[in-house]
Amino acid sequence: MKSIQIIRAAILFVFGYYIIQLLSSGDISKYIHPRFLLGLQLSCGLFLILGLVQLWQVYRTGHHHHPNLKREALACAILAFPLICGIFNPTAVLGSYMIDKKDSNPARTIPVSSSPASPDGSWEPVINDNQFLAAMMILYGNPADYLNRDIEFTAFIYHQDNFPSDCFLAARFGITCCAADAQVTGLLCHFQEQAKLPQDQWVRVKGVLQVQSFMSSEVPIVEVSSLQLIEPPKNPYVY
Amino acid sequence: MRSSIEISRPNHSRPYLKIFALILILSLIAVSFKPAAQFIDSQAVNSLRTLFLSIILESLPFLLLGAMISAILEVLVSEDTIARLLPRQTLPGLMVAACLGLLFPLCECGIVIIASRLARKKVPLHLLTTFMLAVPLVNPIVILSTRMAFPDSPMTFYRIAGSLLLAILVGYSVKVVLGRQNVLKPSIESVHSCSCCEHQPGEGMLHKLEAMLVHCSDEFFTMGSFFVAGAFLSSLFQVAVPRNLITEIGSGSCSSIAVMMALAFGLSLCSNADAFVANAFSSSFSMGALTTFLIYGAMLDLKNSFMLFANFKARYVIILFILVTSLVFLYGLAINHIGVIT
Repeated sequence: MKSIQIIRAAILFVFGYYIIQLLSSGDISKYIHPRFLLGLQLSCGLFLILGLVQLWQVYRTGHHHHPNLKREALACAILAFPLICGIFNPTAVLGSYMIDKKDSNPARTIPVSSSPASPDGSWEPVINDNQFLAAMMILYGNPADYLNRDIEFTAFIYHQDNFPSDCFLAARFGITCCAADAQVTGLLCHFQEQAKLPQDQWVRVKGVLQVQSFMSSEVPIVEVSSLQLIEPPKNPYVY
Repeated sequence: MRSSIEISRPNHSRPYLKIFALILILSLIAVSFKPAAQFIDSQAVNSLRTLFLSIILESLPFLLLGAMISAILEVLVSEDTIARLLPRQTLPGLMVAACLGLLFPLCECGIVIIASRLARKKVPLHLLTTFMLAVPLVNPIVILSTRMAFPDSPMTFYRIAGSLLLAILVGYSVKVVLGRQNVLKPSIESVHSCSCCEHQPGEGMLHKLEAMLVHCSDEFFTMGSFFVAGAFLSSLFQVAVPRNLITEIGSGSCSSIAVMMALAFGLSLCSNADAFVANAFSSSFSMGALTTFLIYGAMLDLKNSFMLFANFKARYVIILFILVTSLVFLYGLAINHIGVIT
């Protein structure tokens, strides 16, 4: 009986520890949308309090009875697994594998952005991560309006057989709540030596916007002028 | 003495639980440890782990909130108080239950915990059912996010009006079919029949607070384990089943609705986020199919079914599944029909 109480307290403390670890390393942004951070911080505090209360119960015999010891132990074991999964493995970022499993037409899957592309509605050629989704919405809405405009952004490489020749998708995952609802978005890029670029390689793309017909709709396409290989960004997703 | 009676009762769920636990443990070992993971496609394992953890991290605050509310109900609110507050007549009662989400914007992660606690507080089954089905849908956050994902479309209306209507209908049918039967599992009923809280009212705030926290962590451990299992299966579904495969199956009016309902059940998305995912399907699916995706997924999904089966007798859960599935399907057909006329 007491051993279960102690194991429970330990699991509660480790949950708290894991959340603190995620928050302090910044890895939390690889899992959930920043607006859930407050909730998670409060949960972390509650976990530590619950752990203390659970420990306190160890000294109070006969107070609380657990009718089914096996079930209690199983529950503890199952709850420990996400912790083992999270603590003993490096945080992985979603990549081309998940695009294969999802709908890979970038024109169809733009998540709605919470922030506008630019304050006055004018076109800014350098698109940072905060404006990425909003910029995609504008570009896919009226691709012809932005013909021959310059563009510069960060994304990862995604190849697929049914893309137009010499094209890759410069892709990002947009997130509404957590990585489980990630939607792929991005721009098709025309680049002669695209076959040399490995799948999932992060790049800084510079180029000029054009329009091309793809999967029976007019989509924007970037005529790449320069491509720079970069390290994966600290925050891989856009919101 | 009560607990000894519970132990001697034959436990039907145990063989399933053991098999399930074994599968879960094996697959989780495969995911957790690098040597084992080398045998499987590492990208698949990495994606699976990321999705699994992200579902859990996102839902933890809501799960704890559900556990906390349940604990507060247990310690501070008596059966008599609840009985006094509930409307006597059936239909007004159902309507009130369906609209409670406007006051308590809870999502589906915590709602089963609260429903189970309310059942222990002798809240009538039909009110409970309507409450459980409607709250994750008829609430301000969901209305806002649906409007954001479908700005110029009647989708928000279809979704909210539909879920009110369906939740009340299902609640009423449950009353007709099951009446006021006790549908809680005996094991769940006994877990918290302790004499630590409500029978010692005079022990002061500190004692009540302690009782509350103990109940909260009890709830977290009982429900959390089922939640983890559901979250794991739904992330497995996301990694293993390609979306294109699903969208290719469903092209007819009926089959597209069935496919979208199955998808909503398997993906187990949060009701705050599913509208944005549905938006991605809007070019390839009918309005009716999208509406069923948005309603069905918030009412029933993979991660919640584990918690439902853990708390309630199988008969109730199966009746609930049949009612919700058939009514949501019919609603989807009706929406498609309206769309054809206009």
